[in-house]
Amino acid sequence: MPNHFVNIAEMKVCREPDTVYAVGLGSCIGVVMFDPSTKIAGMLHVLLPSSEGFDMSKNVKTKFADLGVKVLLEAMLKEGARKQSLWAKMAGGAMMFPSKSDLVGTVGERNIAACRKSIQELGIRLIAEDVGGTKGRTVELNTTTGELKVKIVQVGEKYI
Amino acid sequence: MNSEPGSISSWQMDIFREIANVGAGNAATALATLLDCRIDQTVPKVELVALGDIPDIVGGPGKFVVGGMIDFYGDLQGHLLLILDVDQTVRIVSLVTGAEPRPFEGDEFLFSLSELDESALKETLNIMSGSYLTAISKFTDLEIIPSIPYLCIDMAAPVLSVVIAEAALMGDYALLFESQLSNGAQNISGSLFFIPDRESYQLLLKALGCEE
Repeated sequence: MPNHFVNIAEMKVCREPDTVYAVGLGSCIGVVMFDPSTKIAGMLHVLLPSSEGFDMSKNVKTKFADLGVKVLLEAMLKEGARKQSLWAKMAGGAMMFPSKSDLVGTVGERNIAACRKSIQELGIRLIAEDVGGTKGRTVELNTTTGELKVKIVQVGEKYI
Repeated sequence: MNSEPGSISSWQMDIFREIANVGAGNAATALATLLDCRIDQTVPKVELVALGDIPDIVGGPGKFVVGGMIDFYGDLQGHLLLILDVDQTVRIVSLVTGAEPRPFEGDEFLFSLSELDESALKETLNIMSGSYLTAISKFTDLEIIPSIPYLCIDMAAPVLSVVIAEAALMGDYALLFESQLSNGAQNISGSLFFIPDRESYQLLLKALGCEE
C-alpha cells in the first residue's frame, strides 16, 4: 500500500488503499481533497499565498495557494472524482519564529487565508482545518475513512 | 535575479563563495573563542538547491532539530539560520555555561531548553552571527544590522519553512550559502545558512564590482 510523500510545492493524487502524506508543515499548508464516493484523494503542499507578480515560466504553480488549489482540484476530477461529493481539509500555516520580519512573521497566516479563499472560490466545502500556532505538523490522509491525522512533535496526534 | 540552474555565472558563484568563506570563517573563530575549543569550518558550499531538497541537507524534513535565527536589516536584508541536532545543542550549551552536559531522558522529541540553556544558545547565536555579519559588512562595505535571536525546536522542514518560503520568492531553487562548523573531538557540528533576500543578492554582486 504505497504512501505518497507530498514534498514542498508538490501535488499528488491517489485512491484507496494508497495514502498521501506530508512531513513537517511549518508556515506551509497541506491542502487535502477527498471524494468519499470514489475514495479518490489528493494533497497539495503550498508554500506561498499568491502568484501575483511571478514569472510563471520560472515558478511551479503548485507553490502558490491561488493556483495550486485549482491544480489539485483539476487533477482529482481528471482521476474521476465527483465534484459534488468532494470536500477539503487543511493543516499548517504556523508561525515558527516570532520574528518581526514581514515575510517570516506573516507568511503562515497569509497562506491560511489564501487557501481558504481558493477552496471557497472553487466551490469546494472546507470541512476541517488545523492551522496556525507555532509548531510543525505532519499529516496523513486515511483514504478509507477520510480522516486526516495531524501529528505535532511534543504534543501528540489528533484526527480531523 | 532568478534562481534557475545556469542563471548564475561561475564568476558570480566565486564571489558568493568568497562572501560565505569570509562570514563563516569569522563565525567559526568567534565560536571557538566562546567555547574555548578549536572549530573547523568546511569549505562553504554555495549552490542552487531545489526547494524540496533543502530539508535533506540537515538530515530530512522530519529530523528533530534546534534552529536559531537572526534577521538582518540595513543595506542587506535576510536571515542567518543555525541548525543543530539536539545532542549538539546539549554539548554547546554545556561548553558555554560550564555545566555538565544535561542527559536527556528518553525521547529527543520531548527535548526542551531551560531558560539558562536558551540564554546560552541565544548568546552563542548572537556572537556567531555578529561576527559573520560584521565580516561581510566590512568585506562589502554595506551596512548590516542584526536582530535579536529567535529559537525554534521542531522538525527540520518547519524550522526551515520560512527560509524556504523566502527563497521561493526567487524561483524554484534557492541559492544556499552553507557552512558546516565542527570540532571532531568534542563532537560538535552545526549547519549555518546565510540567506539574503532577492534584492540583497544583487547588492552583494554590485558591492563587489560584479553586476549581472
